[in-house]
Amino acid sequence: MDVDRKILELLYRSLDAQLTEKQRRLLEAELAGSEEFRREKDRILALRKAIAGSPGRTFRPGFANRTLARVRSARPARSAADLFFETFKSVFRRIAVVSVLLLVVLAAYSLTHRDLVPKDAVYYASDVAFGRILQLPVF
Amino acid sequence: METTEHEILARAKSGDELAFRTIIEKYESRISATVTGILGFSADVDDIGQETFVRFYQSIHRFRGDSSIGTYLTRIAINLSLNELKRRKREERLRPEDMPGDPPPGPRSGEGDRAADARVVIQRGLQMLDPKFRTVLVLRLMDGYSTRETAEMLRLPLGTVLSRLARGQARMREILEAIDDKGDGYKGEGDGCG
Repeated sequence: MDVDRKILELLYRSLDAQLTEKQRRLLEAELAGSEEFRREKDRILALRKAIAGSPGRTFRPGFANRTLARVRSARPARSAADLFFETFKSVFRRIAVVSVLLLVVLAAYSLTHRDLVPKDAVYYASDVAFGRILQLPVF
Repeated sequence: METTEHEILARAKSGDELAFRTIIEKYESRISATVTGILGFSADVDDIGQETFVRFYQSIHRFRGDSSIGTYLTRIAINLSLNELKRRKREERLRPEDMPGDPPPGPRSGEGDRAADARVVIQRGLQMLDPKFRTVLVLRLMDGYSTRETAEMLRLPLGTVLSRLARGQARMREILEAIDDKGDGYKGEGDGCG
């Protein structure tokens, strides 16, 4: 084969990647000027077409059934710890959602009714009572 | 990823067997092409194909959909096929010299099915190719992935993929010409090989 190796590499590359403008012009000039090089390109294209069309066989019939049977047997049995964790997670998630909702409702209520509820009622102790507590020898 | 594929994946993740069957049926031909391309027509192909889906099932909760299901499955299939090639190589080394391995199936002369014969010859040629070239040719030319996708799947630089593609095709031509010289039916001129 007389075709220059570098030009041949360029030809292969042109089928899978973008060439630079300079490379493209070089390749076009080579193709225009050489009958052998054009034949070489045809052979390469024929090979690629043959490879692309070669997968003629698929798996044996019933492949999906066989695979699913294997999947079932490969399915790992979950341990007791895993099961406990999963159950705990799902129960906790529900409690957490309800709690957050409740907190939002309470916060909204206290914001809208803040003047109606005296501080003493909230803490069950007046400022005087707090003062007395803080004067205890313990503190 | 298209919505339907996303939905099927979500159902499969939640344990819906029918959804997983849909995934198998959708991708089995693609996986078959990849595995057959790398391993040739052999009894192991079906087994490797099944194992590909089993591995996918086992890791489905870790699959976040960064790539398509097809690409992910193909990556598993390539790894399993390359491992199988290594295993075969080890076995060949251990096998006594007077016990050659199974020969690849030859062309079916006389049956008049030239297209099928050409496919067999191409498969034979691929099996004679170095796996590093074979894998690139299978992904790019047989499966139709872009060079960038091929590079990502094989975790290779794009330049390496392009160089392996060129060298692989050149080597494949030499092999097919040698098979043709023996009169096994491949014609590399024009459209005579498809």
